[in-house]
Amino acid sequence: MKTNPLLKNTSIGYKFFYYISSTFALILFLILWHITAISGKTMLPTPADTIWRLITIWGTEISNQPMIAHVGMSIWRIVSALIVAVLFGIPFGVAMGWNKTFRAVFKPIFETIRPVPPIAWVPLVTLWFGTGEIPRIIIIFMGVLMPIVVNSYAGVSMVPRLNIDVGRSFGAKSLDMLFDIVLPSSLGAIFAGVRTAVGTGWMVLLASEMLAAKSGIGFLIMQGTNNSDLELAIVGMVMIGVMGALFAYGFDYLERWLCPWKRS
Amino acid sequence: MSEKEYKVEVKNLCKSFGTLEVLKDCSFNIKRGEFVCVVGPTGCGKTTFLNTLTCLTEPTSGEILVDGEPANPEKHNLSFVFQEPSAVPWLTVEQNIRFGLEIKKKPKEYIDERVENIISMMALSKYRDRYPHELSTSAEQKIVIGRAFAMNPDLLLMDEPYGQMDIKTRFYLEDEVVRLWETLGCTIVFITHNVEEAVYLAERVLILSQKPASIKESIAIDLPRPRDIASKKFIEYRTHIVDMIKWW
Repeated sequence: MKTNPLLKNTSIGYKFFYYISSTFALILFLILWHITAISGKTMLPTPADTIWRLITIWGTEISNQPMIAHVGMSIWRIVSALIVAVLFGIPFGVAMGWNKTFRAVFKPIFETIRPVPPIAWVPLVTLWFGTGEIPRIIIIFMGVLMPIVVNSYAGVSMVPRLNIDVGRSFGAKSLDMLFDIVLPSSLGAIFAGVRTAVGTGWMVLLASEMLAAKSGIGFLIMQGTNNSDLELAIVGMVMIGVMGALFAYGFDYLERWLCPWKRS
Repeated sequence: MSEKEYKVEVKNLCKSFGTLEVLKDCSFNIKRGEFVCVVGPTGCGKTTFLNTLTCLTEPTSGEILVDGEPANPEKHNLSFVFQEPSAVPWLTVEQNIRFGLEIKKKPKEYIDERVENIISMMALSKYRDRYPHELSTSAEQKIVIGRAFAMNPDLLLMDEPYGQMDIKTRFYLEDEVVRLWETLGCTIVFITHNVEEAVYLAERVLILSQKPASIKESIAIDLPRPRDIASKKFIEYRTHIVDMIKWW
């Protein structure tokens, strides 16, 4: 069988191919964007204009706040909701997977609350907590909590039989079993849950900022829409993309650090 | 022989799953420090037999005594080598070998010494900080065996540990077990369907009958070590056991 000389991973061609292909895809995307923009039939700004705006925007103020405050506000909202959800959701999910009584008591309630979209909580939360940061974070929290609980629960209930037997054959008591076998074994699933939660978190964050806020990336996008400033809206989108990617890489790093046995 | 010299006493052990009788009236004794192999036709209940010994499953009736007391994994030092490679994937080689001792909450100095000893005996020092998935299956099984011996077990139970291995690895790991057993001395019950393996390892071979299993015969293997699998005596033992399994 002949192998493609380009794909032999020792050759320079292989490395070149891989560097070039991802750059090429990006360039192609920008070219298509540019062509669409200059055709004049859409209101779309050109990529160059957008990038220029993305750079200069840091020196300007939007509704009396510097750009960094808007970005910082969004990050603060999502991160604080995530932290609370992790602190509450992981123990809750683990307890549900680990303890039969706990599961019997809480699973029906949880399964009923879970399908309610976070945005549906807006009226109730607004009524109780008014408008401001706390209710916003509560709504984001409702969104990120669910995947964290579901995955922690699934991770704990799917610990391989063999691992449990190993612990039992050494006479591990209940708590040893939980901390030495069950938790490390489900760490991967729990992580996957937090990752999913970050995605959900961005969605809920944006929705809440677009509905009613005086700051944040979602507010910028709304501001762009209201002022027919499409550039600003696109700058907001690009920032979410970049931030999402940074979060994803951050979590990759964190997972490699916490689960060193998964490194290959 | 006085009762005290028996490490394990099994009295009228029965186990059924619903209407399926798996073990029927098994009675036998295992001496302190003895290496016993259990052979029997596939599916005759060998694994059930071991699981009952370690209390992973409850017997339907009958009793298992270790040192004259009912077997209890929290009290007795039992080690189990499973059929599938069962190293704990999130622990390094060294942490795996420490695992059982740490569950038993032994003092740190004792664990350090014991683990160091095992690692050097099994020539694992090169791999001590590696994770199981980075090693071959035979190396992983070696870790598991090391982990089992590190416990200084009252009773070491091995459930077809080499079932999946090729012949060369098997010979190598069999010698490893014999060496550890001779040096560290513990009581071993080794389950296998490979008659040659049983004759090569055991001081005594217990033959189980077809389901519902009971002890059909107990044969002492009186051969010097290291054993020669091509010697006349060896082949006689082997043939005899094969015949016993074939003609029930």
